[in-house]
Amino acid sequence: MPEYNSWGVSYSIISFFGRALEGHDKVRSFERRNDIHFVIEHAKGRTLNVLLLDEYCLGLATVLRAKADFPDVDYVVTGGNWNGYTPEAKEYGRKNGIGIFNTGEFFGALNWSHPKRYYRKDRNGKPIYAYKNP
Amino acid sequence: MGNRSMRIRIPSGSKLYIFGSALTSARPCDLDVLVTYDPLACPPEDAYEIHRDMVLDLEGRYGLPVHLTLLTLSEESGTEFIKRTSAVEFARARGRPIHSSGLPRGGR
Repeated sequence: MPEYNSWGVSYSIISFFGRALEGHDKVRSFERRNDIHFVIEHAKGRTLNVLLLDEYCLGLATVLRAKADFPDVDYVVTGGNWNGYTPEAKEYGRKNGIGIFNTGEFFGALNWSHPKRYYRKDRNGKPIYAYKNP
Repeated sequence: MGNRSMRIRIPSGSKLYIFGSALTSARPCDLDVLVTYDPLACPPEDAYEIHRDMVLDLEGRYGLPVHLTLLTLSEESGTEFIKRTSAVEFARARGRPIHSSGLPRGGR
């Protein structure tokens, strides 16, 4: 297997994500296509099409490119809890039915009935997102 | 590798920055590049295609895979990406450690 695919996602990121899926109790099974496209059968019966990227700051242009290259994808996940996304990318996802998450958020989202609506909360219950804000 | 004395062609309205290991290591394994662009001049859905030749030019010139981050001007200002990553505008990156491996010369 090449060390990198055309999206620059390293094998270590891909294998970490795969191992975490294997250990998640809400994942019935998954299949990997085109190196970074994960088709996940959720324990509640739905199928999630996830594109795994490795972007420190996932922007709108990358989400649009992801959707053009992988039309079936309904989640774009940027690997690593240190990675995040711009508010513009998240908002585009909200309006177009695409879940935009970093890895830690995504594995939390799998526990929700509607994973795309997932958000973390602070101690006051307010949503917190992995925005790359200052 | 191409002629390093030639300038990199950056699409109008865009700015090119270098960040990451290419600024600190003489032997970087890739070239982390930030491009900020004006969405009025470059629609976000076309941004990768519009900057494709520039990326190929960088890869050919320096023999490294380019990891491209594309942000609109407002995405960059909202995230302060340049400040957070200590990114350096391409034309001003001369003399950094990467220069010993041929990076970067030219720019605009």
